[in-house]
Amino acid sequence: MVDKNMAILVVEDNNTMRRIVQNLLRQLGFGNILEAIDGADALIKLRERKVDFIISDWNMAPMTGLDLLKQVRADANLKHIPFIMVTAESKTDNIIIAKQHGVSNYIVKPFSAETLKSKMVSIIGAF
Amino acid sequence: MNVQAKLGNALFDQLTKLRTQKGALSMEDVGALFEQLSATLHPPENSTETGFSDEIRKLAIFIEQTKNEIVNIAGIQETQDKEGATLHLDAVIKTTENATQTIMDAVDAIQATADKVGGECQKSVAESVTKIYEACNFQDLTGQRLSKVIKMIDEIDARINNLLKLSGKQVTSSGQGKLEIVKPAPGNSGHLLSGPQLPDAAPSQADIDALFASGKP
Repeated sequence: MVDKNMAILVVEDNNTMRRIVQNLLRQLGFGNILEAIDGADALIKLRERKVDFIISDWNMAPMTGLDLLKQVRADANLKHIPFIMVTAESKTDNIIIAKQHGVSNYIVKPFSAETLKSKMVSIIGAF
Repeated sequence: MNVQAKLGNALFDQLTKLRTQKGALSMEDVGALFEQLSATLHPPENSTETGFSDEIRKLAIFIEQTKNEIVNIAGIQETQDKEGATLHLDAVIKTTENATQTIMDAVDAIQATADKVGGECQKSVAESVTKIYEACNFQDLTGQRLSKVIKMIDEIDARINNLLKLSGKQVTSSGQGKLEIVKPAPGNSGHLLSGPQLPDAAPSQADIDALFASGKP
């Protein structure tokens, strides 16, 4: 049974995109949503409180989503957290490298609510 | 046909061929190709070396004028930094961001009203609200594409200026400096950042899913 109250961290430097992801998550029934404006900010928040799911952009500074993914997977306390990359980067190399570093799933922008839901379902089960 | 036109035609042809071979091109590809072609083109038999340099200079001025036009159209604010004038994309991206936020505020208000009504109305409005939010993806992608174009113009401009320096010529500065992307290239994985691809070249989510499912870690 999926806990709709699970803490989801949305990591995105673009204000509009961050709001879009949050809204779509709310439409899917998730209300416990945290924000981070880049990978470095996300790491701070991940170490401050419990997070159950990460949805992250790739192209951010000073820390990219890929670098955040590497840090998360290298941390014994964080490596278990599901991590979806939501990004405009769509080349084969991007997907292969993200998967090599342990991304749970990969969504390319622009994306729909249905796509977001299906990728989350593939990780945490139906809701 | 003058040297400028020859260079433009040759560049277009080679870019088309290279793109067919490689797919999406990086700005480094464009810049390297431009330098290569410039070095191989010879001035016409009845022109002097000065004539060739002047053509390159005219091209550099044209690039400068193009950047000025971009500034005027986009309302980009010019600022000064240690290295000279720096132009930001913030104004363009901010304008579209503000408009998108206004749209989303209005949409949220509509949804809140529908929530009070409840029932089928609420459900129907929620579906449309979701579609509007999905469409607002454009703002992020627009900003990324603009950044890419400006970077490309900047790269070509820098290489033309290099050619001019080699030929002993200087471009008359209009006061507009280098167009820079405020967001610095991040971390060690910067070389992987290509940004959104053109619609015809971009893979679908289904393509991504297939690749993701097949790729070995």
